[in-house]
Amino acid sequence: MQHDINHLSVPRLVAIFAEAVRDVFETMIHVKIRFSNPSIKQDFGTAYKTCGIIELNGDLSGSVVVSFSTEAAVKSIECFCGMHFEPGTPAFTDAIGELTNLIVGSAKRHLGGATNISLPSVSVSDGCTVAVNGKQPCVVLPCSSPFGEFTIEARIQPRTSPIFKEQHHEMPLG
Amino acid sequence: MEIELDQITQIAAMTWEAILGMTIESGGIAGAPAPARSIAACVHITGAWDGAVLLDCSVEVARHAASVMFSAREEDVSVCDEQDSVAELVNIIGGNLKALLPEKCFLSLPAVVEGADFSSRIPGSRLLLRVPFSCQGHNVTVTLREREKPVATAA
Repeated sequence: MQHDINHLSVPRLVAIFAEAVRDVFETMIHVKIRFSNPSIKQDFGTAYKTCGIIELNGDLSGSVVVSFSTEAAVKSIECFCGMHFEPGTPAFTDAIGELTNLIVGSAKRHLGGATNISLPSVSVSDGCTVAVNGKQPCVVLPCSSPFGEFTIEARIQPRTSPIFKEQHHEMPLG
Repeated sequence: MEIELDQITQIAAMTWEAILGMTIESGGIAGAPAPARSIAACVHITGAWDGAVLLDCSVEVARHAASVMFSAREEDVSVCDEQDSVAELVNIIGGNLKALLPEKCFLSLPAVVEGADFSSRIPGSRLLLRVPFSCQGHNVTVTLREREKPVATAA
């Protein structure tokens, strides 16, 4: 059931993404997911270092970051693909991108409005910081699977919001 | 969709000049050692055209850019400032490239990865153009990637 995109509350965002994560992990990876208390992101950078990032554009604008602990990423991908991929290899990053795509795609069906989702960007490292710039609040949903921990970070707002208009300036040159 | 290398070079040059007051040299510095820490920033474009614009540079470039943008001394620039500066640069480059694309396209928020040893990919995309240039002895690269078209299968 779709709702008015101009009333995208934090509880609604949490519910949508929890359902999307549950849907993808139970259907594609055949594991149950437990969720910890969601929060508004206060710190800088992602919780874990294997990250899939997808941007949304259209009636809704924003980004979703799925960040996995290395253990959760490796074992989830093994179950998802039926074979082991070393972290950092193209096949591994492709699979992380696909998982991210499935989660966001599933959520998008319930978000409402006409919204495009971008290609996934995937970064893998033990020693890097991943950040998505944006002034709107970012909802963090900690998830736990039998394979390990991961988080969903979603900062999504209607295109009509004042925050969107403030940060989407484009500076024509020349 | 045809975007030429010269167009990206021109946009990058105008961005560096307008925002940082610096000129760039095309082609990059051959044989330059890889930076100890680097930053990769990306904006996605969706709609009539699907792809991404990436900006890669060293932390030194980012720190200098931040010091100019935020009128701060380089030693006072934080990691957040460095990331914000590169995010802003890729946002401007992406925004100006978007103007060359068919309507209607949307520009995403920038995402930034910073660190000493990381790999960053955009699965499902193909490389269109990679434009290296240098500024004050440091290499910078602007990359344009496009969503791969699905391969047609025989009926």
